[in-house]
Amino acid sequence: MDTNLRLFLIIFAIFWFIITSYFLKKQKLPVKYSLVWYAIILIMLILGAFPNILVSISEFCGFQVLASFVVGVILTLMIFITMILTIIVAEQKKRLTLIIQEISLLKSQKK
Amino acid sequence: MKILLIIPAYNEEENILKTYQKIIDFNKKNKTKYDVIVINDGSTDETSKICHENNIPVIDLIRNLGIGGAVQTGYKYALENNYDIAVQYDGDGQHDVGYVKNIIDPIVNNKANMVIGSRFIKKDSSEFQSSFARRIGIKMISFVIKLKTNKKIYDTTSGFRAADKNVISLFALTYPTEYPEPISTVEVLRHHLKVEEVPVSMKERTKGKSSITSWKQAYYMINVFLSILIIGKRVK
Repeated sequence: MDTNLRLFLIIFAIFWFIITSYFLKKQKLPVKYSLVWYAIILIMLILGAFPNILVSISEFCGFQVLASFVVGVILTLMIFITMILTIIVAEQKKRLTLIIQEISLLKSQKK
Repeated sequence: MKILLIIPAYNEEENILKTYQKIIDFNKKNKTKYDVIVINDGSTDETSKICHENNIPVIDLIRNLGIGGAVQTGYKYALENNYDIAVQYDGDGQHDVGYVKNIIDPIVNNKANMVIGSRFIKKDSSEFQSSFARRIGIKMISFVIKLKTNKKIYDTTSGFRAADKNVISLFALTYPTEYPEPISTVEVLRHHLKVEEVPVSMKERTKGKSSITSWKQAYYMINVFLSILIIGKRVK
């Protein structure tokens, strides 16, 4: 892997680490979600430090170009995360509906 | 027997008082005791004000939930207040209170748990039969329900329906918030409860707009098909 690319990867990981930590400290990001991002950052750092791992895996999977392997992995990850977010949103919507209904019923009883 | 008419209303300021007045007049004339609860689904017009000024029993939802969430609130109210039968009734003047008796009859006689007021069960039974495109849509949903439950339901999207205590409990607990009519029917059938259809006549909406606009119909159909097909494949 190109040295510049490795450097970029490491700098990006550090940058991302700072952002994640910032939102965590501000309590915008729950700890359990931050763990996922930290794990990803860690993987990026490891790959930046030891690029051969990435090359081996990519070759093992039958990718001819390293870049397409990287893009593929990132895409899969993003789709997965989006899917989980959709489920979380739907669950929140259900709870909101329940709360709106119950509060409205209670309010109408009070009158 | 305690009977409740659940009237979901979203921006129905022009219709709601008339609808309520007709029910009250009907009660007086026919010595019936239909209670009414209007579920004001976060209307932005004067619906709530009109209800309160005229002493119409109303639950004001603090935010708009859509038809499914509103109707379910009515079923929760029916459950809490121990009603024997809950009838879903439109606030826009489409439904005729005279048919309520026909709709609740099968429940009173222990013949059904849920009864749907149907426009299509007898030819010419209803002056208003909906547009051609929508009738095709209703037929297709009917076909999918038949495939799934082996029960022929003619008017799958009718919002004029009666529910007994079993169905009230079921709906209070879980009610589909989207595309509620056909999907809740499949739910009821899947719980081995009996569904019947009786012919009713419906009028066209007097004022205001229907909640389903034409360009949304294809999307509506796909959603309904998928929803019906996955019911039963679901795991808890």
